[in-house]
Amino acid sequence: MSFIKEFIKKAWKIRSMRIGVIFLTILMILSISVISTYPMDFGTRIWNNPSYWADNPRLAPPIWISFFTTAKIPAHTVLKLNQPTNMLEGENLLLMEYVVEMDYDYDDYPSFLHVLIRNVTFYSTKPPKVEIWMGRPDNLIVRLTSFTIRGPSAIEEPPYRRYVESPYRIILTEDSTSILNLIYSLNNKYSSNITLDDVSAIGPEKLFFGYPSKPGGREFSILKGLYRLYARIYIYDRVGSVEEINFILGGKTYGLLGTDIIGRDLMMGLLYGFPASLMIGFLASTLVTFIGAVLGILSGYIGGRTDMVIQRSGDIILNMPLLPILIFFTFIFREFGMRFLLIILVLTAFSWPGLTIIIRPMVMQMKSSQFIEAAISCGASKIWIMRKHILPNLALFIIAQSIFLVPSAILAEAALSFLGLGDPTLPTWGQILEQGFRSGAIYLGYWWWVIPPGILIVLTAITFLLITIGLEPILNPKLKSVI
Amino acid sequence: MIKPLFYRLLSLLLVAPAILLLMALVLGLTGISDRILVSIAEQTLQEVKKTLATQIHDPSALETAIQLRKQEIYSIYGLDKPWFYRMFQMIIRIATFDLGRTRVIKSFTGSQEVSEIILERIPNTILLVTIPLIFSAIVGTLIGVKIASKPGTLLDRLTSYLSIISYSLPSWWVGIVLIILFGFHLKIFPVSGMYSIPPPSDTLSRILDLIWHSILPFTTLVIVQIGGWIYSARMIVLNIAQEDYVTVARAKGLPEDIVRRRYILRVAAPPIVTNIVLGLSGSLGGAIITETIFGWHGMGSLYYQAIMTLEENLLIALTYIYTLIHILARIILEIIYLALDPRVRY
Repeated sequence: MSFIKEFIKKAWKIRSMRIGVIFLTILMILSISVISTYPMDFGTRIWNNPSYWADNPRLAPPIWISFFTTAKIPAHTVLKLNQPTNMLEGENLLLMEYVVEMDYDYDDYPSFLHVLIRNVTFYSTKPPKVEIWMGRPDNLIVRLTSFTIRGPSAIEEPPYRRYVESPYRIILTEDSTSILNLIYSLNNKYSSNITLDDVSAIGPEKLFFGYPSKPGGREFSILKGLYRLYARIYIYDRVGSVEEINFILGGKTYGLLGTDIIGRDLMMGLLYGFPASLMIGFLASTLVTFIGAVLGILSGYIGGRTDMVIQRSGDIILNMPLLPILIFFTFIFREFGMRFLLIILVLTAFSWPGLTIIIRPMVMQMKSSQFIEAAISCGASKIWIMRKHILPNLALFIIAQSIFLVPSAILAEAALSFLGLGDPTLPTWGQILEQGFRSGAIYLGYWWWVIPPGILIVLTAITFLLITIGLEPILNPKLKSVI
Repeated sequence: MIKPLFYRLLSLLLVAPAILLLMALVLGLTGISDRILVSIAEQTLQEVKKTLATQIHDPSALETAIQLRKQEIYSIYGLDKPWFYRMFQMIIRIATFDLGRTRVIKSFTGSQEVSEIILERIPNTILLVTIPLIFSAIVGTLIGVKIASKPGTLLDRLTSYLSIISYSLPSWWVGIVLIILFGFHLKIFPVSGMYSIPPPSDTLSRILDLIWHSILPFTTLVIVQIGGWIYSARMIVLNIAQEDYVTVARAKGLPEDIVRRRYILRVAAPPIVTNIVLGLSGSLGGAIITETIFGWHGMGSLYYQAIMTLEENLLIALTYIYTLIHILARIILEIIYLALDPRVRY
């Protein structure tokens, strides 16, 4: 125990070690909190599932960019209503009205307007009807759209439930009925002559939150002020219910780190990258270190033909270009699933010789030392000597090497992911970067998509490098001046 | 002296057949080799069908003739036997640079021969890889040696930390950052490609255009490589500086300048060369992605295209060629090493 205490005391004196350990602690805390809060199937069920992100703005930069502009950028707003604002009961009729008010004071249009209806229950055979209305600051009240919820089928028994698994989504800014109704009202009020063909050129969100600034023209100005949105649900019995109505105003910014092309919250993916990267890094480095050390000790201690076979094959593998080989093997085996394990295995298969070749001469030197000779003369077996005498003497060196291998594994995985060979069930920083690159993020200037994952990869790599560098003066006490 | 060198070179030369054997095994065992050959055979069969249809008009006779030809073609490609019978042939085929044809990707001149496609891209890759490598090796080593003479100072610490950061930067990410900054926002350098579109006509402006396009990739590669050079040169020099004979030399009263030149740097040279060997292999692989980012028409971006379009033939060939270039570089450096270090007498 005193040895460990001594070691920790010595290590803590080294600056790079201190910084490295602090960073590593942060990485571990983040990873553990992510593992304990994220679902196990995050990759398939959430991250790579576009419908999960349907209500997020696409390609929205982070929220804090508004600090750098004077204009007020629309924030992403989700308004949830569990209880109807007004309720009207008649004979065999229940009218529930959900109303939201918002003071629109932004200098830009929102990216979309959605209404979500969740879990409608009804008993009558006559299906419920939904109407969406909008009241604008210019006193226009527009009935945007209406639709009837799917009625019961012949075999269905009441209560009839709809939109339980996933909510019903009305994308008002893409709904042609709403757009037509708005155009009609706007043309009436502002004596403009907008047609449906103009909408894609104007941008549908401008119809909702703007007004034609010149009569006859297509220019729009933002209409600031108080907006009201109404969702009216007519249920033709007196006991039906609606669980929740959401009004979603798509922002032009989103979250702390923005969104990507399908509206994914990048912060969620980047956070998930912590445990994913650490797992890949640790697994690969443990495997490589284990195989490399065992073969190195065998090669050095047993010698002879074993030594020759291990060293020759190690030499050949070490002379293979690593990345092309990794790409080739991952590509060939990509259809077999469990790709991240495959990456780790291939990485291990082609990087063990590095350690083996370094360890061999160290073992050979030890083999001729007196304490080993003493052990042999006491009748110790080869395995005993290798386990009890050689391994402990190399332990610190091997641990240092294994830490050094972690960043290389993380960087290799990131490189493979960047080439589109990553594991879709396990989102990593490399994959986020790849999707950004493939969607043209760098040519379109979506920096929030590609800069943060890279910073995280670099920070993680630096953490392990600093620890390795910190271990150097402990392994080599003669070396005094390190950073 | 010759014999051990011969063994070293032999083990290097064994790498190429080892790679081929590995690839053949993997392709055979996974059934991909069969898939490739069947698609080639079917292509040939389609052509045969066309010519046969013009000669034979009776449908049943045509059918039997086609079946006959099909068996013939399949046996020519060895598809009538299991994959391991063909493995030897395949190894010979690739080893002799009969690399096959691509499905979609074409060379700049429109050829679909894999060897032609690769051949016209090799110079571009070498141009991209070697210049930043040599630059960072020389400049990095000089800086490393320089800061090692005054270890522990603020400058030394700062440079060391910067070099650690440089070492952990993935080249492709640095490329992305530089493109966004200088290509997209500041618009100083082109975001992609090797030449402007259309490329300038006369040679001089073509070269200038190429240089202009290569500044960002060059900077990227130097940024990510130089740190490793600085740090390793510093560590090597520091390690040698604490040897006893250096202390003796100082105790003898030799001027510091001579101690450094004769007793430290002379000894530090061979391990630094070893680093060039390792650096070269690293940068060759790294260039695969750097080229992709910068739209550089080298082997690396070709590799990316081959993955995206699932061109198996091209992928096999590229992996093989990468191995060959890698081995060649190692052999050259092995010989340089021999010349440089007076103690190395194999």
